[in-house]
Amino acid sequence: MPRRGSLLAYGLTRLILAFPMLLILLTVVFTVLRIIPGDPIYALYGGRAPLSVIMALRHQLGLDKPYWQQYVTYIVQIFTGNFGVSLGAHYGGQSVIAVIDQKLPATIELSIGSMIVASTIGISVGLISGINRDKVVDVVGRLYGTTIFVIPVFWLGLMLQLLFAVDLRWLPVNSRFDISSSPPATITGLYTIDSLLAGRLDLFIIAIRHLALPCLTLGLVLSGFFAKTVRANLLRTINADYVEAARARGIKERTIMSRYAFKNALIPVITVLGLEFAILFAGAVLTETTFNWDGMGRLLIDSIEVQDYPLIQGTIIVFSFIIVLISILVDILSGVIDPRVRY
Amino acid sequence: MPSLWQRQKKVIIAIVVIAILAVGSVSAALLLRPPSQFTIPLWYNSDGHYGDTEPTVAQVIASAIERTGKINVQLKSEPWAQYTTDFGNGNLPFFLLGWYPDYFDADDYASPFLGTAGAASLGSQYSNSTMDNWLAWEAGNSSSTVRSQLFTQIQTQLANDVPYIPLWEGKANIVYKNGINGVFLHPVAFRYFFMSNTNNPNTLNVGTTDRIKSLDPAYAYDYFSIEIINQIFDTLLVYSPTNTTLLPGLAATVPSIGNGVSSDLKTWTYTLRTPLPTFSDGNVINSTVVKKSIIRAITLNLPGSAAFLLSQVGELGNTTSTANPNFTINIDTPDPNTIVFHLHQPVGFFNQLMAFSVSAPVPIYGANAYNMTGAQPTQLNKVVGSGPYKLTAYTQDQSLTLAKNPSYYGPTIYSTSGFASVPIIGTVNIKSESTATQLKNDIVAGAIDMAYRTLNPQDITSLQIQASSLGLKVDFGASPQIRYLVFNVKTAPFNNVLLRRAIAYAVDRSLIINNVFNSQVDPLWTMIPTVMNYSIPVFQLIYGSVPNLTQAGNLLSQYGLSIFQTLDISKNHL
Repeated sequence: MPRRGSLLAYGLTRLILAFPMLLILLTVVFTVLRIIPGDPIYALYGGRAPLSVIMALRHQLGLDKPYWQQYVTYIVQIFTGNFGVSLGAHYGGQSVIAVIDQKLPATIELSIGSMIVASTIGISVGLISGINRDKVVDVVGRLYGTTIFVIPVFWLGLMLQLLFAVDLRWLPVNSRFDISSSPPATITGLYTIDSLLAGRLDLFIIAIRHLALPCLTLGLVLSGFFAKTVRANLLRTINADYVEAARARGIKERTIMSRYAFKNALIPVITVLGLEFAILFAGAVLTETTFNWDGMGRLLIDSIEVQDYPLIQGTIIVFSFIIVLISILVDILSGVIDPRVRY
Repeated sequence: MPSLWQRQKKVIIAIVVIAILAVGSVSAALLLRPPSQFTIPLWYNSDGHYGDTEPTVAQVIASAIERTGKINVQLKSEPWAQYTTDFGNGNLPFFLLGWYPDYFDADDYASPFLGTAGAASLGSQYSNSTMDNWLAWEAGNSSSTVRSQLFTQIQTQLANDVPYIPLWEGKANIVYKNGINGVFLHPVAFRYFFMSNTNNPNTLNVGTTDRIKSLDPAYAYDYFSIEIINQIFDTLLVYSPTNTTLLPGLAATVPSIGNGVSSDLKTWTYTLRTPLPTFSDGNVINSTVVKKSIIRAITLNLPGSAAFLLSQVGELGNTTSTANPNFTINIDTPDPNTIVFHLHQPVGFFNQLMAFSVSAPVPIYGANAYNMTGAQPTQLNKVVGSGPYKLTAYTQDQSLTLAKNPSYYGPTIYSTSGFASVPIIGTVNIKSESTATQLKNDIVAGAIDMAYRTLNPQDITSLQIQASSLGLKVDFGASPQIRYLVFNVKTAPFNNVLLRRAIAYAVDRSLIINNVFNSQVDPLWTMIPTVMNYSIPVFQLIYGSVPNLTQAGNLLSQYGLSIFQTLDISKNHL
């Protein structure tokens, strides 16, 4: 921690500390994958090819080398920006970076949409509960916060799907785009943004309609955490000395709430956001499977099924890197909002 | 003063009596208890490689075996990667497995299972030199009489030695909207280009739980990739729309002995159509293109590909073993229309291999020439074939679109089968779903016209019930997919044939079929499914149609399970 409260130094320190963390993670993932019994080449053929074919291929791919040699090769590759080539049945032969590049935008789009739903609903419920402490509205809000957070995301997704897509047919059942329409040309990989960049409002509407159910599902589950955090913080700030002082000065209750209590209650929520993103990615794995959403979550499940070492490692590293990056950004943002954090 | 005995006489006697009774009771219980049950493990895949029903299947098999009263079955499971590694290394003693053929010949249900090399890969470690000779003989013989005799001997030996217990054969199923015609659940090649759609004559929207691995014929070795390759690429020979008869594809005729095939089954000559067929980009397919495409598949030998079917099963050899001259590829192209394959050993089913996707010619010359050093990328404009459809849109893992190939050389090649011109539907959109539930929801919601592979059994039953109200049809067809149990015959206790036969008597196929699959599969009584030639229900003939627990018990007694015995076999770590 720097002695002076320089924001730049603070940010740099956090960034430098992230590297050993990622290296440890890399090593753990590499080791765990090798400890788990199973071999990607056996999985590739499922007993169909002669053992001589399997052995020749393991040799060709260096899987018969000692683990330490494989580790050194892997670390060297990672630090030269080479994440390797997939070995699995789904993406075999494709560059890991290329596969991740293809899948990541879908998860980012889902995450942003879910975070918007979660924060809008969660913060609103939290505020209404906090303002109406111990009234019926508060009880309902608290009940919502607790219940929605523990509902399994795949169950909620299926229920919403059956209601809005299968029965009412208001929204598409699943996937990122209509089967009979072509998605917009890839610029960012986010269909909503790409359709707007292409000036295609019709495609934008299709993309939004497909986003609605998965984002609502994941957003609703995450909103419970927001609701509880905002309520608790609001109750703390409502009773703070500076709010009492404001009341004593005769300031209107509405102004007190919006300018003093609410603003200060939201500062810890920003910190919580970093943690929420980790939960969001975990939820994305199930949401993507439920809604046939072709993102990083499904990629991780697919690669684990066939023990595709390079792809599992690459996916986890990218997930971790994003979470670390968001944590750093949140820390810096907290430092900007509340200078005490930097000291 | 009276002694302790005198003072507490009655109490001491009571204690002694109680102690004698207690010891006696425990001893009687120990002596009269039923013998300890013999424990065997049954392994199954835990992560859905064979669908959601696998744990229930294992449970049903275990309960049937346990009805003998002498065996306790311990269920164990592993994810696919671990499972394949373990059985490949001979570490699973007793487990469930499945098979889908590479080429439509009974040999593909015999050699991989009962040949010494194949059995090692599939984890049974079965090895019988007589069997190896029979297999070599049937593979290199074209006489149906001789092959029939050989397959009878092979299957009888299989039922006697019991390295495997066949359980059931699948039924293909498909759900589609009324108004769609020309849907054939072909046992080898499912094709969209025979279908018509009165609801929307130019478009068909299909859903599946499968996903494309690669559309490079030299690389693809999974059902769905091959299914799509069969729409985009033609092979020298193609299958009839409704059955497994081979028809001329790129080749003008189907070779036979005396008509392109040497009597020793080692030389196979194919003549391309005149004028020469073309790819969708207009480039010509001549004999050199066919030859180089085959050599490309063999020499690339891409991980997980079917190249070994050409080099090893097809006896074409490969150039990676140049030290051994027997393993060089020998293909002649005397003129632009003629390709002559010289095999190292006789292969009776070489025509079937030439109808398999790995043999499909790919562009070798010109702007669209395929990558000769690795797999061709599965991207738009990189997939160029000679089939009725061409790929016009592709989003990996999500969807693809097939549109009529305007340069298709052979719209009339199925005219003798009643199809004047193919393809009929202009555009086929195929969407990949993440789960069977999503597939069902999509067909119920009307988002797709057709659901093909793979709905859950209970969903199929539910769709059958609702079919008329939803305006859907549910069809079933023969499938060459089989499921079976594998014994590692080199591992105790399964190295004893009496135990394997006892289990064969105890297995209850009807329980699996009715209770797990709602009667949507059929019992299997040999490794060769009924849809193939030479299939004989040997297990039904020898072990009966229903479980015979008396016979099972007799064999287990002979095996030695009438004495106290406790043995726990988990994985075999030989």
